[in-house]
Amino acid sequence: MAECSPMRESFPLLLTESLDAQTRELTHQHIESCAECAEEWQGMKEAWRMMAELPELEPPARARQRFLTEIGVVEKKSNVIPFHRRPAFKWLSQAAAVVILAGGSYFVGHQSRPIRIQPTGVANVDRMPAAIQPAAFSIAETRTVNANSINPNIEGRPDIQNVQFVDANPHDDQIALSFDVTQHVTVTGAPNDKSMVRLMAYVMENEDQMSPNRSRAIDWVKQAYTDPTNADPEIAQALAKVLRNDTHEGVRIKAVDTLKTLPTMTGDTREALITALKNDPNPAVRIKAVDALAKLAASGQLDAAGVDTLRQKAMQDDENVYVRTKAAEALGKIQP
Amino acid sequence: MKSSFRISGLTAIALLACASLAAAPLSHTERFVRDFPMEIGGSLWIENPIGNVDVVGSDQLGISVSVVKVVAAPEAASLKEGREQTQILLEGDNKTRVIRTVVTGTRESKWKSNVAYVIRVPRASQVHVKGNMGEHIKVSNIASTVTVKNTNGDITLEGVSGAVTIDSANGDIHFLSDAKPTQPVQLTTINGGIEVQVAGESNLDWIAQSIKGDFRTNLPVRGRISGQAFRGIVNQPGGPSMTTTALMGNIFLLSRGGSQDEIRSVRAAAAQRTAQSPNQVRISPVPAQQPPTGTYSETIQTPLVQGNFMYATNYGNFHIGEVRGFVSIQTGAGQVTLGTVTGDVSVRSGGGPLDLSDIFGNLSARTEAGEVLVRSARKGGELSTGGGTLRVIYSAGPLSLHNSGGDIVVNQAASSIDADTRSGDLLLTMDPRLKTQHVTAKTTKGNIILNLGARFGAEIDATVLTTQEDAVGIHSDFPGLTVKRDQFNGKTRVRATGKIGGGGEKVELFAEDGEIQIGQQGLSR
Repeated sequence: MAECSPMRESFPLLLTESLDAQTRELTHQHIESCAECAEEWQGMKEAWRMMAELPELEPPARARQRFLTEIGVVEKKSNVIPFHRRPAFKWLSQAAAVVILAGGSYFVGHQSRPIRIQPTGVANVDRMPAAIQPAAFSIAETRTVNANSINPNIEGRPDIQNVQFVDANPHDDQIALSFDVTQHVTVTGAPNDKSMVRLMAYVMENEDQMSPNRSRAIDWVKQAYTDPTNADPEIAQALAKVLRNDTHEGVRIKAVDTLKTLPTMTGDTREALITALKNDPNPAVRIKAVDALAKLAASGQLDAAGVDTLRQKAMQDDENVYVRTKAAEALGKIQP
Repeated sequence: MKSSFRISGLTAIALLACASLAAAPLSHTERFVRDFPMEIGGSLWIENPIGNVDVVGSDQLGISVSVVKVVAAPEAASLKEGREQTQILLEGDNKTRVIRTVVTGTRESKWKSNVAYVIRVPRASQVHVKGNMGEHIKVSNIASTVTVKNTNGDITLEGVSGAVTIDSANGDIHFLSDAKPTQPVQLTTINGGIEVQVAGESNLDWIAQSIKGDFRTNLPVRGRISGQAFRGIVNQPGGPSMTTTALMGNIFLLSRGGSQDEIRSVRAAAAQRTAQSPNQVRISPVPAQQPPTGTYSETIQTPLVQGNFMYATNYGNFHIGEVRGFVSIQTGAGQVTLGTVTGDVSVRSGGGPLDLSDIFGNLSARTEAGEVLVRSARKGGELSTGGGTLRVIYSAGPLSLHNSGGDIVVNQAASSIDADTRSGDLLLTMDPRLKTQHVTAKTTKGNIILNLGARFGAEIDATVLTTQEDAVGIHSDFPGLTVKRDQFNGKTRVRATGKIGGGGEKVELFAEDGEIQIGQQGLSR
């Protein structure tokens, strides 16, 4: 399609959240209607996600200063108070609510039988490849929903903010309202449902959350995912990420403790345990990492790098004696 | 009729025999010998992860390699795969010979293989062996450098006069020599033991280290013990170093052909002399009368101690069901589990978890690393850990809690609390019947959740220091607090002060990079 090219050009800006609202909506609408662009967008998002997982290395202060000096930038603290985005005008949100209520009332008034929500765009979905069929509900930064798929009854008093009117093409009969809505959402499903796994992983990894929330999320993971029938490598990977990156020692202790109880261990998980044993400043994390590696050793899943780490740890004079003896005990469990 | 029965019976037996033969594991053994030229002073490198290695020095020129390769499998196809995937590579030149066993199978492979080498080399050759899971590696009659590394399996060096470096994870090490060592010897095993036998008149600079084991000798030794290590002189100074490390096992340094009855414990000798000159050890050739040395590290497990229990050890695990008296435990490292103790408890551990159930007396417990769990502290106590979760289920007396890294959780406190952690959350729940009590809680990275009864009265002084400009910082279910915000050292400081429940004892809370929540018990949120 001719419009694909300009749309794809705006993908990087969409990733970095640098598009204006109108273009963002247009781009999202295009992604939802174009299979090729949807695939391209998914790939780009995945690459972006992977890049985000790479460790961030802080350049040495001297090198950083030299670089900035060479390019003529002087680091100084700004005196400008950052401008915070103000919430949308109250009348605009009220207008949005009125539009939705009026539209809903009109819709209800013209129905002679109870309203049933039809599956969205069934005909279109049938024509799309299975791999890119849109989910019924997705958790995303932004999403576009056809008005005819929304139940016209607004339940409760959802907090609707930042309302904007979008008329992308004045010549067609389509308009759009975009807004932020805060509502309490409960997602239910089996523990091994991919959406549930991803949601759990997201909650665990989200450092913006208060740490009791992350701690509790780890407790829930321990409760739900130690059962081998619910095992999922993504959960183990998320815990490994917490173990590697979280600055809160209480959270890291919980992460390694839970990792130890999971039935599945990936290479990434093993690597995180080895790194924790080598470098984590908290001795409790190291003790639990040894315990987890001992479990691997007993099942013959410990590779040469893991064995070497245990040897080094056992012989490390400045290590806590208990950690050293636990490392020695783990070595004693090695199976050929 | 009878004969047909007999025939069918025989047929059945024959069929069963055939079936059992077919089910029996198959094996294939391959033997060969290869001879190669090798220069005097050349080096031999052997890598064999799956079998024994025997290297013998001789006065003949050249190297002779004898190989026995055995592959076993449940059926022919796997056997063939095992034979193909167990490769023996003979590489190198006249200066350096490399012999390697390469196994490309996985853990899931149905076949198993084993390769054993017997290699004859010139005595002056350097020998380097890397094993993994074999039963043994033996090197004998070599006059040059020898290095051996393995994971499992014993290592024996006999008649080796060059410099030696041995490193094993789980194997025992035997170093046997009729002569006096002239080159440095370094023997290391983590879970095995070490036995060194040298000529009785050998002069050695002996360094020994073990966490759980003992050092024993029948040679004249004088030296000093420091922590888990001993350093001493055998016979006269000026000899080569003999470094022996067996972390979990015993170390024997013996006179070849000497008397077994003269073997004495260095640790026990050190303990005897401690009163005279701390840590100095002198073991004379004539055996001194010593108490039985028994075990240096121990696990003490008993359901009941009638009376007081006092123990000090370098490494020990304690599992005691009940003590009708007071407890004093000092351990360099190890787990401590105590059930009911009617008296005071003092526990000091260099590392390892503490699990203390029901303590009637004053409690003082510290571990350098690991979790601390106290189920009931009737008189409160002082608890600390160098890292790990610190949890008290119930305390009726004042608590002083310190954590160098990890959460502190108190499920029910009927008295005052003074708690701090370097990095972790504090979750403190006061007894709902309390009307007031002094509480101090501090975390330099984390959150504080303080749960109080509805009738609790206090003078609150809560401070949050955070980098988040818009953070609420302090949440309270109790009215009456005045909240102020300002900037402090580039961070946002939120401070809530005031009286709740009509006032009472001071409650001081400080959380950096986190939030504070003062909750009322029983209030749904």
